[in-house]
Amino acid sequence: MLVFYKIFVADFYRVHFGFFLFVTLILFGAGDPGQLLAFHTGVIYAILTNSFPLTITICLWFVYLLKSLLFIREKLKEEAQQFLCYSFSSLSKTARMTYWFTTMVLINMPILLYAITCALVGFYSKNIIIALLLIIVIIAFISAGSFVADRFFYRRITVQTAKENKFYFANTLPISYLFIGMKYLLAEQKLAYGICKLFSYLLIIGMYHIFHDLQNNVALAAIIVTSFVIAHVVLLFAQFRFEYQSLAILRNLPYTDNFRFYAALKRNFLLFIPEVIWLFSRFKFFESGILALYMLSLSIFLYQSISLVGLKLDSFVKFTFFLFLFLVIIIPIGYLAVISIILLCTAWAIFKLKTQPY
Amino acid sequence: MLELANLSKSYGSNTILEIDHFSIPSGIFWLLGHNGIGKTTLLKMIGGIEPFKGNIAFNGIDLRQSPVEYRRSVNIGEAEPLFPTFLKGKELIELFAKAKQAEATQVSFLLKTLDVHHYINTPIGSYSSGMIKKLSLILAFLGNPSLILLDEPLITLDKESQEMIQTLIINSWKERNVSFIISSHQELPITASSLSKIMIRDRKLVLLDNIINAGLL
Repeated sequence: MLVFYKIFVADFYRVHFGFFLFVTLILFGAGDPGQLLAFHTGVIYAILTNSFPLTITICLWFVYLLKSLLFIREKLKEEAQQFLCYSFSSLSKTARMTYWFTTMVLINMPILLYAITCALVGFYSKNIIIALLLIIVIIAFISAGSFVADRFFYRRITVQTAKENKFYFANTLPISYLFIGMKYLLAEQKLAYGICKLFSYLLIIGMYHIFHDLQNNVALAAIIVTSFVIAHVVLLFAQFRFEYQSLAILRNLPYTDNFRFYAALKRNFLLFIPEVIWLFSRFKFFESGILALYMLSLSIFLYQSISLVGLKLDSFVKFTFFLFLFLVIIIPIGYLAVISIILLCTAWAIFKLKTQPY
Repeated sequence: MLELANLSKSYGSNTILEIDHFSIPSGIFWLLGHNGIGKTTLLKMIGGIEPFKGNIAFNGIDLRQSPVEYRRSVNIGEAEPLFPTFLKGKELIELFAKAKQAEATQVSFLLKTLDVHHYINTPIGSYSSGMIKKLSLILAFLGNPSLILLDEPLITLDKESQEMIQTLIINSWKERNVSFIISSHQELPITASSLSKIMIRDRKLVLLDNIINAGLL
């Protein structure tokens, strides 16, 4: 169990430290400290007595569960974790499920504790049925999560890749250097993509809710753009790893550097199409253009920066966290177009220096 | 002729290759050396896949200065090819054929020669290691390369396919003057008169005849 704890649980909290910090700041730092207890008690009562907050809460727990499963799946794909395939495949299914259940309980501890708190308040305030429902939902989530995690493990040891090819929209895309990344996204990253888009949506809603008096402020929009680009780090990392490892042989193809860099840029653009549409529907054309340029520049900069940290997800997440803090400080100063061009040029320099084989 | 100049490759502080200058003329070359000495790394460097310090040029085309032209002339087949499992073999062949400007007749010929018709339309994730190896070899022969690098081309192949590959190599050399550098721990039963052996020894590349003459082997 210690091995599971170190690989999955400890790493999950380490990698998502920035996320937990952000959520803690939102939940406990945004309001008046004197009103915090009353605020949270009010939120819990709302969950217990109103179906809309209850649905939202369960949806958020589900997103958290999906995120933890996604993390486990990515971890299982790492070469360093290959030994698990040999050692844990010899365990009985019951023993494996016990390991996974304990792991899922530990990873989902924040939502589990919140669910227990809500249930206790529910029992205290005589909302017994909703309190029981919350307990049942959280146990069902964790149990189902354990089962899915074990399926990921099983798929890893049986290399059940042919099954993944039943996907069908991916097959409709033409085969080209540009679209292989998109085919990979549609075949193997659908879940990650969906979660990232949900995060983008929640970030937009949440930030505009907190800063409702700054609806048309470009600096705030740029910070939101920064947040949702950074929320895509797992997706960008997986895309880069796919291009660097699974498509290594493609570096023997007679493509120019410009072609390869431009293809990566276009792939990033395709990843962020929903956000680009949101920008152009929300702001004036010129402002949207600058924000879209910034979004693309930041995403390609992050994408190419992965080579700087040696294809290590943990280091990349730390890098993006500090980059986020840095950008949040400099964005209000202005010059977004200049920042975008600097990011784009730096991405090109990193691409030339680190990812090209000469 | 392949020219390697001031070529070096390190992993961290461990330098595995340090070649001042080495020329490899046209022909079929068998690259030898014990495990971990850098044969695969060297082939990947020459194939433009692995980063390196120094210069590599083939027939006067420098990899740094003319990467597109160089890569049209030099193809590679990896020892343990890693392809996206969700793609079909046919899709990968289409991509390579287009990039390497291979003609449809060449593609058909290679598919037929290596007998891959029956599975080429299925996802690579369902292939055995031998089937993946065949796909990798087809990709290595596509287009009009003047040099083909083959890393352990015979492993995981059945006897019949091994013979096919050997015939392909000899015919490519005789009919189209395609040179080969082949790394293999298995004996290469190639009887072409131009077969020479080169070896990685003490991070350098040397012609085996020179080693024998110097009494080092």
